Amino acid sequence: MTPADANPDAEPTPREARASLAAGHLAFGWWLLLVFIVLGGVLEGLHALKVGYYLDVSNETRRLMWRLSHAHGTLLALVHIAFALSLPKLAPERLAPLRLASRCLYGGAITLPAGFFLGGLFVYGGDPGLGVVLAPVGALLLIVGVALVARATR
Amino acid sequence: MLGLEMGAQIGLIALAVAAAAGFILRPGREGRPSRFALLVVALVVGGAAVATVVVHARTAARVRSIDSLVEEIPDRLVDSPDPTLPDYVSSDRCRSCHPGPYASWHRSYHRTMTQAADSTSVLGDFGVEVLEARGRRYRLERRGDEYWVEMADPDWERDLLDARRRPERVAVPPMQWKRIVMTTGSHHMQTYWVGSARDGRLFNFPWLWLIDEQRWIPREDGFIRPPEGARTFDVWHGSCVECHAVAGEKTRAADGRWAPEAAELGIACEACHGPADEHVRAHQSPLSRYRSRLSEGDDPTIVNPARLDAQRSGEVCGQCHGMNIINATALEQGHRFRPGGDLAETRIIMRTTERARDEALAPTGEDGAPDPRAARSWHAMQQFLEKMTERDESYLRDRFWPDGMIRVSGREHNGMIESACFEGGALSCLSCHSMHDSEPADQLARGREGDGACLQCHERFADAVESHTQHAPDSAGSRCANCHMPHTVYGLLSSIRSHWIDAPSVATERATGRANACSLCHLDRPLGWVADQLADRYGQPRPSLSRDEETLANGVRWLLTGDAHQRAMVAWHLGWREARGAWVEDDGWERYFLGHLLDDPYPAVRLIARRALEASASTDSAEPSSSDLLPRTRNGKTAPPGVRARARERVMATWRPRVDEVSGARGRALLLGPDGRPDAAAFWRLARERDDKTMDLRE
Repeated sequence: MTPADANPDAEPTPREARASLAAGHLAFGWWLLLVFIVLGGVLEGLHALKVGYYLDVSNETRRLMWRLSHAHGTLLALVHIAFALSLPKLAPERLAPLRLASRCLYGGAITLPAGFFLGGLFVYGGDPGLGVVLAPVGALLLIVGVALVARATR
Repeated sequence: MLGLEMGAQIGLIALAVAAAAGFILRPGREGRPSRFALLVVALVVGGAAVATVVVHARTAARVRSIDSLVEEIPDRLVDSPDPTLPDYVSSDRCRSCHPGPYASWHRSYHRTMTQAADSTSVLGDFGVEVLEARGRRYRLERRGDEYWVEMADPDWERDLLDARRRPERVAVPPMQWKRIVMTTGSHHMQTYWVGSARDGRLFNFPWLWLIDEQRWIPREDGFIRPPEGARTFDVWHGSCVECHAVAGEKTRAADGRWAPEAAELGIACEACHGPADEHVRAHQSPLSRYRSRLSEGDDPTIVNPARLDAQRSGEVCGQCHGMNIINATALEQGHRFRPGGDLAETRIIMRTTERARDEALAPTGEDGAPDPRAARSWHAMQQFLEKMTERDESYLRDRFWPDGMIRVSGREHNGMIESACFEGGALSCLSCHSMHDSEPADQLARGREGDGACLQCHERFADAVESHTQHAPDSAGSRCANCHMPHTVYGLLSSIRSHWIDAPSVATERATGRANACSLCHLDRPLGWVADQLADRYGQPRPSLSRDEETLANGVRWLLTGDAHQRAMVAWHLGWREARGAWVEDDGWERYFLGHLLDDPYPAVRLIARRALEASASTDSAEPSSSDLLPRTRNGKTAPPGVRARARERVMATWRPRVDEVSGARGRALLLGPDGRPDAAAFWRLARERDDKTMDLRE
């Protein structure tokens, strides 16, 4: 029984807080990995069936965007798993920055691949659709998140 | 439509942002999000909103610009799907399965024959501001990715021309700014098209951009056309659509507007392989694709010209690289030529040779009657030619040499099918050319650039080159094509190889006025000398020749007395590096005679002479560079006659023959007088004999 179980209003200990964060990221990472592996499978299927919407020359931008979405999404899923596994080893006194890093990593893992995916959904010649505006936002969140995690290592 | 699409995009972005915000703002144990998290979300939402507005503004402007362009271009790929060409899918679909052939095609000038006008396709300098020709001023302007010209209203000009009036004689025409919507050409020259405000036609912006020289010339100066003729005023839908696009057809919509149909702009995959919709559908499944790739047999869903017999294969190219008459009846009945089909079913291949007549009327059946279809085609063509020559007596002359050899470029199929090599059924265009394994310039198949093409069949000459050619084995005189496919075809301000494979003959030269291959290299020798060589070396009968033919250099005789095509052809050869090696002495003699052409009545002849002089100036020579003496060229300004005459005199003065040549055969051949200078009286006697019949070569 943890102090929090005994008294729901009690502040969780740093260890509990980290365990809670780690559990969230571990689950999120594996589910995200599932989503983007499925996307990879779908993209392979589009190749196998020679679907023009994905493979035609005029859809070059769509193909690039969706490949980027697949690659970033998969990699970010692994980043979340790595973050979850790293949490016990990160500086115990830096819980607040780690919470912020957690939020940034969540935000980045959604907006960055979503930006690429939506950018490929509608394309204008060599220009991706408006959704691509999410990609730099996600990149910023990811940079902040990773920087905070890096700072918490000793 | 754009609004709905935009709304969908913004909605999806909002969903993604909401999902991200949900995770970022997820309450901690304290039950509320941190201030920093709120700030991050505000930044995400604000940043996304600002970026959306900026990207939207940029994208919308681009989309509007493209929309206005495609409205005027007959390309269903950038427009809505065209239900009248359902069998075509466009090159867009081909790359995913055929990346190599797609890449080689993409490098080719076939692809860029016709393009929508934008900064990637337009080669001309639109910073020039003003061009002038034949009393007309044209202003040019680039507006971002768009190219605009101010010109006399082309609809108004067309109306005047239709009423047989010369629009350039109207002093103050109605002017309009028109957007350049399409380009033609990307190799030697490029021209541009603007849309009619009235009926969907595309009119030519009547200037050519010369790619090598990087300058504009009036369009009519780029062709051998009557020098005093009107401005040319081509309409793309008139004929270009049929070959400069895939499956192009000039058609009118029900409301009378022109509505040309084309599966794709430029010459793309389906122009040679046929419509590919069935092929794409049949091979959607990977199983079907691997079955097809691993099987030896033909794929019945697509045409591969390399697997057709020589005649059918040649006809794939001949549909465009040929002088053909569209069979209107077949067209009305819905018959269209498709690669792999019989070209004669939809077109009459224009042939005027004795061989063609003999083939068409040769008895084939037991009753001694000719093949009915061949005979019908022959008679139909005769009727057509009679009608055309009644209208224009030079109709045939402007397309064919008197013996039926094609004389204008882009019609190589007409030449090839008259060759003895074709008769055996082994020769097709693909014997020498490859669309996918070649350099873009001539598309000669790898390994067939030199003599390789001919030696495939005539291998016995490979080890006996010198005994056959009577020239040094590594010299230009030992190259098969130089003797058997000389540059006797005119086009693109150049001389182009004839594709009628034949042998040099003085008798043919005299009968047709087409210089033979020997004469076109040995330009400083008389025809009599060529006749002697052909008699001695190959046993050809020596025809009796005129005094000028016996004594005057071939180059001099044709340049001074020939017609516009003959002058252009010889001028081009005087600048041809391979011919120079055949001259007795490369002392700059040609500059004297090329200089004379700088004041030729035909602008195209002047331009070719100028190019030859520039090539001449690039060789090692102690003489002053003739290119420094040429009239300066300015975009859109043709040198006036006075300037041309002065340049002519200056260039001609640069040749100083050696005194010891005066009394020899070379002196006589090059018109040298006793003072060691060219004899003016003899020169002008010949120059006055110039053949000034009007030429209008229909390349």
